[in-house]
Amino acid sequence: MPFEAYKIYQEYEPDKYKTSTQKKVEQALDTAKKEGLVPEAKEAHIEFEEAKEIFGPDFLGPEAVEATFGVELSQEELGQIEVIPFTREELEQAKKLGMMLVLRVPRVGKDKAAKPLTIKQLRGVFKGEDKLGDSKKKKFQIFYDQNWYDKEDFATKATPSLGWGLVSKSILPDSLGKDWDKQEEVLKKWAQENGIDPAQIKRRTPVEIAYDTLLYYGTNKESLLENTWDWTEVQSSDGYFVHVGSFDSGGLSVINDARDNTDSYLSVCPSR
Amino acid sequence: MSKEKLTHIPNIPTTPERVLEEVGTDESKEKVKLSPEQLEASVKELMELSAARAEASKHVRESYGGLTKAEREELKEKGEDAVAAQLEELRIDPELVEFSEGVLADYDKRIQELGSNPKVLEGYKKGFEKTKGTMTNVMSYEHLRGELNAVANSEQKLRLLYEKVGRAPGSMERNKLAELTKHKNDLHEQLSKFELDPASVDMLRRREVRRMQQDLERYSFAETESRTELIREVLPDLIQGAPILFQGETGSGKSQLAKYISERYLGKDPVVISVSEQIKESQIMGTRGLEKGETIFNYSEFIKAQQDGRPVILDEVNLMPHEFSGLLHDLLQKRVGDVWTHPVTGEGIKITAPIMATANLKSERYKQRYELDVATLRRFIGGAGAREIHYLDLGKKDKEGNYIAPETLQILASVIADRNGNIAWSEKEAPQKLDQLKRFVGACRKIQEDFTLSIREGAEESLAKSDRLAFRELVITLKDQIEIMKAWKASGFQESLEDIVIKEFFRKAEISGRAAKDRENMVKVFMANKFFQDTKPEDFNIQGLSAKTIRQWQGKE
Repeated sequence: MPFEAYKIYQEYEPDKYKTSTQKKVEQALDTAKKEGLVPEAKEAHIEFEEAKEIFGPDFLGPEAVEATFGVELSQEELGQIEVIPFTREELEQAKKLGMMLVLRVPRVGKDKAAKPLTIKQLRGVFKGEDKLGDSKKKKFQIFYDQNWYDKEDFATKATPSLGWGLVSKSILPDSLGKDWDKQEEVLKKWAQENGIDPAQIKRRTPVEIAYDTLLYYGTNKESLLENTWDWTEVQSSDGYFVHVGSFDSGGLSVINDARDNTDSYLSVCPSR
Repeated sequence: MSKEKLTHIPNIPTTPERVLEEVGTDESKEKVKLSPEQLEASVKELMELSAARAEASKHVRESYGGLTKAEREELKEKGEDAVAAQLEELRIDPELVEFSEGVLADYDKRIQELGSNPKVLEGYKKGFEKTKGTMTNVMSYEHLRGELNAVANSEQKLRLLYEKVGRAPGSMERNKLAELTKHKNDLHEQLSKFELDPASVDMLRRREVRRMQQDLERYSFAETESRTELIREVLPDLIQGAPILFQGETGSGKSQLAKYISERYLGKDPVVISVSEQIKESQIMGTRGLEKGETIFNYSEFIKAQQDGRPVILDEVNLMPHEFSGLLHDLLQKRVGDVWTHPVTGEGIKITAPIMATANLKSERYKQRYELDVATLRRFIGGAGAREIHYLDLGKKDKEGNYIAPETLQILASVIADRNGNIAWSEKEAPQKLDQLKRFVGACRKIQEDFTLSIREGAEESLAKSDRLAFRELVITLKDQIEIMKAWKASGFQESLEDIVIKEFFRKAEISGRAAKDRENMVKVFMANKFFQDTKPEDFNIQGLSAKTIRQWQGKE
């Protein structure tokens, strides 16, 4: 029996052709869910340990936050994040889609030394030698040496909100080389293809990108957004849209661009 | 979809029927009794042979320079000398012709043996009818998809038109656009409800592979999804005669893309002009000459193309000397229907086709010198655009963050497949071969990624980054990968892929020590992708790369 050539690449386009049987099974499942015949896991909230099991190294919870940003959560805060606002089914799908589960906090540092977690603050905290990554493969610096955003609100005022987020670890390849508005369509298409309500998909803010990237690097010693950029919907004072990325040995960079600009490295990571 | 709407496929004799008609039945096989298992095996063999015969038949036709069977017979009737003269003219080795004719005769003989048994032929025809049913379904599906594409294109073209003229469509136009949108949604609906069984999906996929093979044969270009999207975006403007610039790394397929668009979508053979710093005015405008004692003006290829309505491809337009900028700017602003006046003869030349240009991305070091001036660039941006064309799949990663190359794999799969979409890998060896292929593509991808970064940032800077390697001159392009795949296929996949890579790439890139460092880095990348673990150091023949170093890389020292 010879080998069918299309089997070499068909895994990359699983939804291109669906047989009638596949479609019927999907429809039947949808109907059954709507009629309540298939139990929705939504109500039953998922425990930390279960989420950890699903995500493995891509679960970035309180321990990771403490190790990287030195933040110890209070009892009250732990109560607020006790419930992970996603179902088991959603988390399992997210893992398959290459997402990570991130706990975000609004401050950096311990107790009285704690400060609002802004990009500028992070840049100060991690100035100097790379203490986050693998000691054998240190980056030259954690933040690329830039000062253009020193007076920008997105870098000096914005902090992440306390809570959980699901973020794709890599950019959507289809979003590369597209302007900001076309990327919106790519995000929408991605959500639809994966059966997620497009309204639930959002872009991260600049500080969220910096936070997630450093947290992942500190925890797993691996760089995300190494050669790419995640474009946000936050505008700098000149009206341009901020993007964060290029986390190579030169450090994380923050740049901005007009929404109609395109670049082969400019892309977007879906997040919820 | 109702039966009446399904595409009609005419009744034509099957391959075994045609062979039997030509060579007659083998009476000794007619009455052979076969067990049910033997019958099933014979029918299966007949189906496989009939499918493969087409390729063998094509080889014979090609070896005679495209002559059909009747034409070949006519030629042979003229005698051996006439055949020899034909082959001589086509510079074809008679031994190869003999081989391909022998193979076809073997096919026919076995088809005759099997097809002469009426039970086997009946079994074959039943199977063929089933395939025809699948084909009908597939063609209807493809027809719907084709219609959807056409409607989507029209809709986009109209929207672009309104965008261009800068006004909102009036009520009548809005109605027309709404009709198009409705039609598009109806087609989407029909496609989503279309019944596809596994056999139809299998056939759709095989036809996809075949189309890619045909494109590669005809245009030396394969239109993958990302390129289709790009063409859809720029085509409406190109049809209006607006110029376009494709800028990208060497070997990223810019010129081929421009030629493909010109031939396939604009329906004209383009005139390709290789621009260099030494280009003369006469090569652009034309030259004065004497004819019958009178001074005449001979237009250049460039001007003649404008007269003939053929698109012009200016290859490496960034090398165009600045003194021609004015002329170029003037031409780049013209659109279909405009008249351009030749500055020497004063003749009005009507514009009927666009100018397409390409430019290589230059390294930081040479950027200033070779960068296209802003005024020229602006004219492209104001036309159909200045688009960056990168290597296929550049930047694509899977969910785990690994590099992937789906479009490259699609093209390479079509190169190593036969015309039925099959690859001659046995079930047992397929997983290992597939793994080799994916590692090969992975290595090429890494080389392309690093080459791109070396060009953008400068090789030395790239070297400083721990996981990147610097490439100054050499890269493995898609064309190189295709050539390697062709050689692998030609060896019947018996030769290991790494031997083919050495032979087809490293040996061919041995240019008196040039790009030795690039080749050395390539070896490193291939080794990281589990290639060359046991290759002898001397096989690489790279100046400055010691046997000891290679053995160290291989973990042998």
